[in-house]
Amino acid sequence: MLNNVKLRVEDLRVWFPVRRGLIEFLQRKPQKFVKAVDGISFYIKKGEIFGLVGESGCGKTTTARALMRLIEPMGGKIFFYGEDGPIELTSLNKKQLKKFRTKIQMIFQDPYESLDPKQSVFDALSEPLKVNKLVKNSKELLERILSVLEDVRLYPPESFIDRYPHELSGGQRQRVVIASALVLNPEIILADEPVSMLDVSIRGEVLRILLELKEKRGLTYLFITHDLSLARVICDRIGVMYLGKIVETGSSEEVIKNPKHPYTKALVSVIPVPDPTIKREKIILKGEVPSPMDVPSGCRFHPRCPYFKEGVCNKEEPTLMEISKEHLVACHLWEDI
Amino acid sequence: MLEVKGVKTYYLTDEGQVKAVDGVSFAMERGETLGLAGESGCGKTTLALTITRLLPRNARVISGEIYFDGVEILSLDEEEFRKIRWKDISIIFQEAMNALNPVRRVGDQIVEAILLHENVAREEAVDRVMNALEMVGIDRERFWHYPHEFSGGMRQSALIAMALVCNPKLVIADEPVTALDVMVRAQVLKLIKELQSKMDLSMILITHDLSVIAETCDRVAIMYAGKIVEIGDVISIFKDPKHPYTKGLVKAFPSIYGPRELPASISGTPPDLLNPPSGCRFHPRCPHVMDICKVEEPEMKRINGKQYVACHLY
Repeated sequence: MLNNVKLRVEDLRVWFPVRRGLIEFLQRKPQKFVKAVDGISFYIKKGEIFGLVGESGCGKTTTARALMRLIEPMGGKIFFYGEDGPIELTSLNKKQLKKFRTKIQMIFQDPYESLDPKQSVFDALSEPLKVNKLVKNSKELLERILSVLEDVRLYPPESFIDRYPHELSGGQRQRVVIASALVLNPEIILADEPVSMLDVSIRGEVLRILLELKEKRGLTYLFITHDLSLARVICDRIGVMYLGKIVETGSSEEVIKNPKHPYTKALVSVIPVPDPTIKREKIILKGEVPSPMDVPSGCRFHPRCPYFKEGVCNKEEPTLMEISKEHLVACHLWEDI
Repeated sequence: MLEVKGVKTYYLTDEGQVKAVDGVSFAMERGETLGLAGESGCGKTTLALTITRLLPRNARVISGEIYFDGVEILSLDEEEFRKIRWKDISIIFQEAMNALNPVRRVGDQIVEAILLHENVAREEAVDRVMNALEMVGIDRERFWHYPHEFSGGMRQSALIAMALVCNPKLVIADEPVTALDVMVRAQVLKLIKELQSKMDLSMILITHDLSVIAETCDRVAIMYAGKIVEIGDVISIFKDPKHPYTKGLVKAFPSIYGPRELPASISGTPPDLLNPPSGCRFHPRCPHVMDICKVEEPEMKRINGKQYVACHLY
């Protein structure tokens, strides 16, 4: 067991049952599931930024929601290591969960949807504090809100508290969203594509604030993104997801510069590069990701894999194996390709 | 082949005129792919809608001329222009799901585009559509399928087939890969590049994503707040940008081949086009702002070869 682990996920599964029609029910057809997250394990060290990367539908957002228990997982364990020892989140009852929730907060992708247009910045930030009864009086409430606005660099904070979302620019809105996650003093932040809806010229600013906050408050991040070049810059380690599974994990630089799984290899080869002088060989996979309702047998990547080996890849599901320090890959053939 | 001269397109709103495109000029040669880049709200889509004359009702072309093969197209009446649209100038829209009618077969929708513009028999049109689908990597028999039976990448490819089926001279693609995942995006970009070399296509590719332009375009025009601030060949613009906005934009995209550092940001936010800033529109955000920038609008100046920039620094 590693030291300094803040969050550990073991064999997490999130399956959504598919509605059966009456006839299917009477025919006793088996219940089908959308296997959005299908047995993933990872850990995040204290003060680390761990990235979950992959294409849309691979299960990265569902994972984050399950960690918050906004969705109930079908199976698996989630350990949170706080000051008073580990807490296993899936076993908490509603009351315990409510008390615990302030410790993990989520930043959503769309700053236009995660703020209530009829709520002022002050209202949006005071609500979580009031609900969780974290402030004694209105003076303390105001102080806390002003300080968190300063933390996300909205200066002077007094000029922002009475504004409504439509009076803020996209970047300012996302900073208010970050502030509303921070105001409860969480220990872990789950950031789901926090800059992908923002104009490119202001993304750097928001990312800088997130990194600054990590240092200042000793936060731990789960950073969800589809953008591998961003993950390389932001994350210490990443996990590459495909169809509900982590297929490769390791330090972000190692995974991107020296990918071992055929899917990671292909994904890295098609990363958009803003440089017309760079010519590279792209591995363009055929077709699209299969439906999580009909997960292929064996290695779930086998129908699209350029290295597919009959009788091996479609028979047994590969598990994550450590191939060098902290670099794990789930592929039967990784040594030969 | 295409020459845009001093075009201004404004939206009339209750609060006043939104100057979405405010004096844009450029020219294009046959067989060329021109990228049009800029952030949301810079007027790039409005410019495309002006060229294709598909502007919404509250938009007005205030001034300017657009010559296509020597003909001024803004002064043509709707009937005359309809002969040009799709046959000579076609469009690939951004949202493949919204651009296709969900209750009609994909093939029929493309056939309709042919029958509207050309006097051919239906059988011939069907055959051409099947060939066009095949050309973009979709099985001929998919002609009979509905949009929901297509995957995201196939829908985008079908829209490309639809744009090409009348053999247009110019194709305008508005964010053709933005809504797609990286792998599908790579598939569609590969298709676009193959078609460029196969068909000697002229293309205007509109996107906020400089990496798409780096991969597909010969030249690129950078738009900011309704104006082109810099235009030139892709290598010069990416490797030796002159305008402070272009410099900032190029640095805002992280590259896996670059240093492992945070993407740079440009301070401030894009201006409100109801009341754009005086002088150079970028001056409130510009790190090199001078007194002249606040009062006088910079003219387009030639820097070298094909590179032009509108900035008082030069």
